[in-house]
This record gives sequence, C-alpha cells and structure tokens, in this order.
Amino acid sequence: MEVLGEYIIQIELFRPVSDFLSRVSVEHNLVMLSSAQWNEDGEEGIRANGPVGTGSYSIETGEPGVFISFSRVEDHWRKTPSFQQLQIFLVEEEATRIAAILSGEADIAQLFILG
Amino acid sequence: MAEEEDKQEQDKFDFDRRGEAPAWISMDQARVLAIQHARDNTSFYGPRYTGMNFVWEVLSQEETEDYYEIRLSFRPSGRYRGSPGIEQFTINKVNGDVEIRQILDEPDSEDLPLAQEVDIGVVDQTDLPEDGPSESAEQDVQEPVQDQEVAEDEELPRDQEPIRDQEPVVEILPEPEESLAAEQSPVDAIPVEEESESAAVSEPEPQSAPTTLPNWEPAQVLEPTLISESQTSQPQTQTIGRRFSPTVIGMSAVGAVVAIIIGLFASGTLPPGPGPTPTIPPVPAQRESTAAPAGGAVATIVPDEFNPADQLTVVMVPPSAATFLPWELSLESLVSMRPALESLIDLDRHTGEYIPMLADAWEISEDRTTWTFFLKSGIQHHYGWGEFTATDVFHSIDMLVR
Repeated sequence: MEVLGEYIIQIELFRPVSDFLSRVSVEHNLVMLSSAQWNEDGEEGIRANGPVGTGSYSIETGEPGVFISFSRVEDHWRKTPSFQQLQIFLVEEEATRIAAILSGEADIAQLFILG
Repeated sequence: MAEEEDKQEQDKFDFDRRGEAPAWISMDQARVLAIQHARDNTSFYGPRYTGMNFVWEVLSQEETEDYYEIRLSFRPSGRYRGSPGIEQFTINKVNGDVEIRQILDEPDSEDLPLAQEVDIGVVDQTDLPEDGPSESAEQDVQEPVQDQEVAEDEELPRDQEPIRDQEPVVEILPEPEESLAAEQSPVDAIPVEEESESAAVSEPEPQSAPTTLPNWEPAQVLEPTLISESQTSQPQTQTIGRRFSPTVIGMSAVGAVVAIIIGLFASGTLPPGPGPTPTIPPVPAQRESTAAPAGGAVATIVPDEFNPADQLTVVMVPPSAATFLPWELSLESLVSMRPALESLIDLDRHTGEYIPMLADAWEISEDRTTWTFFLKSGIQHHYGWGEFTATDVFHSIDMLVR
C-alpha cells in the first residue's frame, strides 16, 4: 500500500483477489477514518468521542454498546439527510427491540422473527 | 349428521363419493382435493408459516393403479419473489382420501416476505373439525369432501377439542372478508387465484409499552406524519402523535437490515413503502384490542418532503464489543457507526453495482494484483478534522485490515 499523491493510493496484493472491490466497499464496512484524529487525539480520544469520518452524520455522543447519538452534517458532500438527529440504540434482546417498535419508541428495529 | 350429508350432496355432489358419483374420483377432482386439503391444512407447513396465506399451483399429476399423485407448488400469496415450495399428495382413487402428503421442498426462506404476521397462540383454524350441527356453513363448503370419515383419517389432526374455540380467532385473522368470499362458492373456493396479501397489522398501542431502552431523552421530537396503507378498502392518511408509527423490519440476515439502514444514511430518507408491507407480530394480549379493524392499517414512513420530523430512532443488535474504537470491532459490527463513516466504494442500491463514494475512480493492473484508487477532493471530515486524503485511506486500511 502506497500513497502516490494527496488523492491517489495504490494497493498491491500478493495475488489477485476476485472480491477485492467488495472488500473495500461499504459491503464489508471498510470505512475511512480520520488519520488526523488518530495522530492528535490518539486511541483514548477516539475511544471517548467516537471516530471521526466523512459520513452524512457525525457522532455527537453516546455510550459504547448502549447507544450512539448522531447529528447530521449540514451541506454534506453527497446528500444532507432529512433527519437532524439519529439515535441508534444497541439492544441485545429481541423482545426489547420488538417492544420498542411496538410502543413507538423506535422507528426502525432490527428483528429476526423469521429466523 | 343426516342433514349435513344432504346439504353436502346438494352443494357438492360432484365430489361426493357416496352418491351417484362414479366409483372412483377423477383426476380433476383429485387435483381440487389436493389444493383444498393443502389450503385447509396449512399448519402442515409448520409454525413458521402460521397465519400466512398461500397460493397453490398444480405442477404435475400422475395416475397409478389405485392412486393419484398430485404435485403442488405453494408459496405465500402477494408479492413473493422467492422460489415456491413443492408438496406431493397421494390420493386414493376410490374414496378421495389424502393418503400421503409430503413436503418435497420448502419455499426459499431468504425471500419470504418481511415480517409476516405471526399468530402467537392461535389455534390453527384450518384444522378440520368433526361434522356437527354447531359447525358453520363455511366450514362445510370449505371442506366439501372431507366429512367425518376423512376426519378420522390419520392425515388429519387429532386434537379436535381446541378447534371449538376457533371462532373468535377466525374473526381477527387477516382479510376475513376475502376469505369468506372465497368460501361462499364451492367453485371459487379453489384458491389458485387467491392473491390476498396477508397484511393485517396491529396499530401501535397508544400508551407506551414498557421497554428497557436506555434512559436517554432525545433533544427534540417533532410530529411526523405518516401514511397508512390499508389493505382492505380505504387508504388513509393520518397523523399519529409524537412518533412514527412503528415499522418492523424482519430480517433473516443482518445484511438486509444493514442495507436498509445504510440506505437511510445515504439518502437521509426512509424508503417509501418498500416491497411487501411489513407486519407486526402481535403478542396475544394485543391481539384482542388491536385486531378489530379488518385488514388493518399498515404504517409507512413517508418521503421527506412530507416529513417534518427531525429525529430517527433505530434499535439494533449491539456490536461485537462495547467500544467506540473501530478497530476493536469486527468489520461487520461497524454497521452501527456507518452513518458517520464512508467507504471508498458504494453499492448502487438498485443495481448492486460498485459506484464511487470517496474514491472517484479505480483501476486494476494487468496482472490484477495492483489497485489504484483516485479519491475525490474537497471532502471534509467532521468537526474540522480536515480534508479526506490518501493518508486517511492508508491509516484506515492499516488499522482495520489486519
């Protein structure tokens, strides 16, 4: 892997990888993080504040494994989201997720009821 | 009993094997029998399909000396795009009994409709009760050839008792009008054409059900509007206080929910009414109070131009570790932080093609081992952390791919 310029990067593989594009795409969640945050704030800063990236929401606050609170990025380079706030609650028990959606507390729930 | 038989002979003489009908049933009758039996005994498919409506088609029919072998395909009705299941009936030529019924292939579960209604604790209404004066006319019509003799057949469920209690359940099953209409005529009762979508859904309970979500109050919650799609007759638009009416996304794979959520993040809007309308599996207590409206209203979150809401709340499965450090999580688990993070390459949600995201273009060497990515310029990180450059790509891959 070699940085060839400010906006060019080259990656060399030991052998051809047929699904390489998939692996660097959203499909595998290979996300791009800020190296500046890493250089200046270090691991502890990221652990406390969450990672900085370029997404249409920025991480505002949260508690690891419990919830993440996002606010939208105004004038995002792709599309500015309609929702100003995004809350993601991380809930282990499916029953609780069902209860949240049934009560209206959540707008979207990840459920596996057919599984 | 005598009246029952008379009635059946009037309505159903075609299928009555004791009257003047020929000594054996025809292939035509056997085919109808097979479909009727399948329709009236969907519990045979297992609890997973409880409450679903099905559509059957005859795949093949063969005749042996004493039996007809009918193969049916069966699939959930409505916008089902998966592959159908296949079952085979062995029907006695002499008396029309279903001697053997076997599932040869199940419907492709990956493509089952999202979050089909699950009737928890509901007695299967399709079990055949013993004939008796108390049984309703629909039951008889629905079950024209399966009189008490057939009811004693080993193919039929033996637990007759609970069936007596089925009436209230039948009322609150989805699409009762359509079911009744289909049953009123013996000819129409063959459900091959039935296309009713099982879309009954419970309205959200107005009072807040107890949950154990973290005790965190959002800064502000506006009043969104929503559109209710009624599967029966009257589409209606309504506003339900404070929150969206819930949308349940039932998934058999994390990928699917990931795709939807990521779609939201990407576009900032909720997809308007995607595919089969999700339904909510009601818990028994809620069925009583919420199932009254036949067909039910299904809430869909409307596109943003109609939507003044400014907050979206999602509940999802926790990541692999309770940390904000991306490289302490599995790549899969990073999905909960995906709203904040982008990749080099995106997927076109409609075509599945790889499309530019942070990388504008990419190329691969002749020997297919060297990839070069050309990045977009001018993209800023959050909170003034500067422009996204190749250095960030190097850092990210270095940290995340090990």
